[in-house]
Amino acid sequence: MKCEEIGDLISGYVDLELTQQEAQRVRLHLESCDSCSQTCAEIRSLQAKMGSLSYPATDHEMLENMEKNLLIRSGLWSGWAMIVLGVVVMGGFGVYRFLVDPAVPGLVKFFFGLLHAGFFILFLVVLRQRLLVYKNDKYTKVKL
Amino acid sequence: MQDITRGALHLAMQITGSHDEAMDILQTAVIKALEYRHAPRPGEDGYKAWFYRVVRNQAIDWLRYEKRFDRDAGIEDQVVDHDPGRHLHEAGRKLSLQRALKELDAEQREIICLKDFHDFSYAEIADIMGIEKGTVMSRLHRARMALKMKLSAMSEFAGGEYEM
Repeated sequence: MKCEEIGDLISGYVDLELTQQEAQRVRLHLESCDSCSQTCAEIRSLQAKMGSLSYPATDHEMLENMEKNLLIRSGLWSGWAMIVLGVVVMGGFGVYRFLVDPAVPGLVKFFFGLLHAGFFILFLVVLRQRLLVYKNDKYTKVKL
Repeated sequence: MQDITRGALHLAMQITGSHDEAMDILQTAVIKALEYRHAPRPGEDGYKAWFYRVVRNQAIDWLRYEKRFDRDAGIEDQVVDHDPGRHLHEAGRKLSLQRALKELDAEQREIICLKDFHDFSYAEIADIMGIEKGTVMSRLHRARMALKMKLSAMSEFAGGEYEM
């Protein structure tokens, strides 16, 4: 095996990411090549130095509080799901009861339907507008 | 979970070079982790790599947004030595390493940090960076060689004071 062939494999060898066969080939080459052995030693030395880097201690309590506060958000999905489900089921049931109630005149039912259709159309128009703005707003990522 | 959160914060600091920005990025990532329904939950397999990927992508987005992918970002101001008086030589070596890292491009700095500081496997690095596992080794090796050259150049400049 020549030095040109070994190239990237030295890093894989140091990181124990090679197959047994590849590692064996690299090992044999390193035993007979001072230059590649030195590269291997330098990579190990770099690794040791990188591992010794330290960073300013981040406030433990702050991290913990952030996680705690944000963990509460995980309840949002289930909370919203329950509310939406409840509104849809109860609302649907109420509308159904209203529409099949023989005591309510047909004209009232008609205007009731008209009113709700109007609300629904308005909702769709506003929703579409908001989605378009959200999608095309180039300032979305601007932090104020 | 704290180790993962703290490690991800360090990664964001390493990529952006800014502690405040790293905190914002971390916060956004935690919100995503908890709000995105299909995200792995803390403690599940793959959570750590997924969380780091979110943080990494946020940090890269920030770098692109700041248009300083190859220049201002660095970790120089973030690394501390707890006892510089007693370990002056060691502190000098760390400083030279920080400077050399700072001079690398963001992708090279990132892959070295993921492997040699955060100790991820090649498969995990591929997952976090969104690249093929097969390309991790070559990119990492190139990055290490680049770092080595930077350190050598610094060593020559400093008269061998910060040799490897």
